[in-house]
Amino acid sequence: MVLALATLASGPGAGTSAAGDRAEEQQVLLSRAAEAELGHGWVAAGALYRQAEAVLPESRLARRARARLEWLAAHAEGDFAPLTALASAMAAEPTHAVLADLERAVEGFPDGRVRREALAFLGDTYLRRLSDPVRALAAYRRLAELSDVTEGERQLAVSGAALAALALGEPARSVALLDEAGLTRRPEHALALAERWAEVGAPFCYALLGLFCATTFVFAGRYALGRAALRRAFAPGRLAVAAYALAAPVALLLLYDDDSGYEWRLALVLGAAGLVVATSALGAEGALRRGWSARRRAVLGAASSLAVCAAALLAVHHTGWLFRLIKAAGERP
Amino acid sequence: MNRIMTLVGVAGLGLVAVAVGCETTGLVGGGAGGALAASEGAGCLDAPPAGLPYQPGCCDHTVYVPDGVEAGFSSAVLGANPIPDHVHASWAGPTPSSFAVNWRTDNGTLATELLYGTSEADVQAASAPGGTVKRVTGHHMLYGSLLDGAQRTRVHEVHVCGLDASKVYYYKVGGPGAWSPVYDFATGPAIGATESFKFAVTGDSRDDPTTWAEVQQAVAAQAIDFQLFSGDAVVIGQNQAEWNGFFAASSGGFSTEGLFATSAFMVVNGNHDALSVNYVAQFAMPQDVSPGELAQGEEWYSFDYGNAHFVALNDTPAATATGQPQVDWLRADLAAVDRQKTPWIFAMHHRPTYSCGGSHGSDVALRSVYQPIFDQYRVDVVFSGHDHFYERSVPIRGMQGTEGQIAASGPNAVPVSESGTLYVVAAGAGAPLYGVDTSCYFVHTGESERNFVIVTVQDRTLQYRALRLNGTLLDQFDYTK
Ligand SMILES: [Fe+2]
Repeated sequence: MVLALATLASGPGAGTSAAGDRAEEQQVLLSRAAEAELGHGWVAAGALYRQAEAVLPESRLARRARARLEWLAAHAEGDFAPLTALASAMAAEPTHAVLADLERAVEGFPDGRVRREALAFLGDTYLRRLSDPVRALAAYRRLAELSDVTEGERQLAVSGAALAALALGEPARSVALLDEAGLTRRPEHALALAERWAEVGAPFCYALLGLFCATTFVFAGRYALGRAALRRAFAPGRLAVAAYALAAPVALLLLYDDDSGYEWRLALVLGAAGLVVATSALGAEGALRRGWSARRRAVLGAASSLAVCAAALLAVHHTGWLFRLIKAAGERP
Repeated sequence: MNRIMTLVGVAGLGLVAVAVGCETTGLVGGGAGGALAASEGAGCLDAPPAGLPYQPGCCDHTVYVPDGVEAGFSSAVLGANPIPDHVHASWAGPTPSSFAVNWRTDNGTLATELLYGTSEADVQAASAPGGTVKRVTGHHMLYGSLLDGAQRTRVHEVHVCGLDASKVYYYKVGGPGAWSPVYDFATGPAIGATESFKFAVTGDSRDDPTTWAEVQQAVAAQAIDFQLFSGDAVVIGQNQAEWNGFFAASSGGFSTEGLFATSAFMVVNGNHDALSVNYVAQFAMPQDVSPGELAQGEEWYSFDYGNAHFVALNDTPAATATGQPQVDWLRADLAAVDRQKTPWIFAMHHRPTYSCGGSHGSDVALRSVYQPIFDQYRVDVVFSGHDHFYERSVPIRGMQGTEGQIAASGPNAVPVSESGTLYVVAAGAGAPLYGVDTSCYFVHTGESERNFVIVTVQDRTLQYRALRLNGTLLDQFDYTK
């Protein structure tokens, strides 16, 4: 390996002193250890790291050797056979065949960290690389049910399962999984809630908006609002409100441009907010003009307020901020 | 009524928009001011001089304090909750002989001490200097911003100098009666030494501390010497609550609390960090103050580690990014590099000059200014973030108009004898991932995935690995020159 060959080269900092020699020796040993790890020679790597550490125990590179030794010790179950199987699967191009082999192998792994890491790897790879949320869910469930699973791993497993449920188009199941596990502060929980809302809330908001807009235009047509009324409806004060309503979602989109494809989201936000402000203005103008009773004006005002809220919710949802707001609300101050 | 509801309905968003619109809120004023204190002499005094800015004992660099803070020197005052948290290390001085540490306490604590030595047990047992244990004191800063309301934050900063190269030191911070755990920190090799070293590159943790913790857990397993962070640590730079989440992010049983105490964390300003007072006060980067530079010289900087030279640039706002002061500084800095001593040059800034897809894509204006300089000085790799995915360019050298020209390369698009610069986007350590596009002429590989980069340099060989969060390889190459 190039690195190993390069280690004997000396530079301005590597003198001929005994300390310099020891530093070089340490570096050669470390390179050999890293090479042994690449070839899955875990025992040999451990021995080399121990030698490297002993050469100059106070050095920066000794710290690296100690870190690798700790890692190896934590993955030594089954005389490193499980680690070799996992490392081989991780190095291979992920296919269903590779993962199925690993799944079978995992059944024979003893209790320990490698078995747990292998199941986490299976869940993650099925979900993200192979877009197979069904198998991902199974792997995550298996991990969460292991008797030796740590709290951290259990949380990752449940969160992974929740993401898999989302990928299956089942946000309610996703929320339930996280609720059952008491993981209401994970970002996945906020994501699942936002998705669940989108399933029901978004169509409802669109319907509300549509109904309100149609009613208002019918109303405006029926009472034959003229130019003067339109001018009053779009008075500077109302336009300022419109500008304010538009400014926030547009600013969020333009300045934080968080998601790809924001052009259509921008159009949606502009369209929805603009339409609502316009129809609210027209509605208010009509109500005032006809000299309606206070009760009727209140009903119209409430309806237009609902429509504005619906538009604001849709804007927040489509800019990706509903998830963030739910997350922020669930977080400790 | 509907007007009122309109206001109510978007009030929350409006507040955010105000914060977004005021990227300059909390900006730290420019200029270094007049340095009051000169060196305190040859000995490493553990008491700071009387004025700010100051030169810490044994250090050759001057420490400036941000304009928007109330600063003072360490005194034996402990508040109600004086145990340090958010402890993180960096380099403001030479990497072989120094390190700086920042941490947070409650507002009432003014003790800013650091005990260190080469014996872990001695440092653990000590509450004052003596034997093998030495003490350095530093300064504390109190700041707040519009978004924090009445809540203010106390952070502390100490600079340790006069250390031996490539050596492990143990330290703890705080003050008598309120010490942090003991951490280890390793100094870098002598500049120009060919010793192997390993660093990580991450970026855009932003709005998801859980994912950030998972990325850091994966990075921690790599036993790195230091980490580069290409900006956008938080969504709103003036919001301290988000910074608290950044330094103490957790996922499952793992927390980043204390993690950054054991290896240097070198950052660059992202558009979301907005060079806020929070950003500047919480990190101690090299303060090589140059004319027109904000943040007391931390806005852009460089440092050497082993046989590599690192350049960090600020590309927000655009006027700063391509403004003469930084460009002049960059040219002068790279011109001064001794390529015999530091044959490797890495650059880092937030907005990518080559990026296909995502929300942003290539910043062509930035490219037109930076690339000719990177070309002239044969910069090896440029790391950016901002587009939340992973992407590596083919080697690029020279420009035709505003487009880069593809340079000669070996297998796997590796440069041949400094034939070109590689432009890497490695971001999304928490921020939402963007869709990647690999159809641009300059892209070698790309993937929309949580990622981090691990670079191992050994003499003239660079071993580059981009990894997914689950530890699998996303991209790799070895490059020898
Ligand atoms: Fe950004």
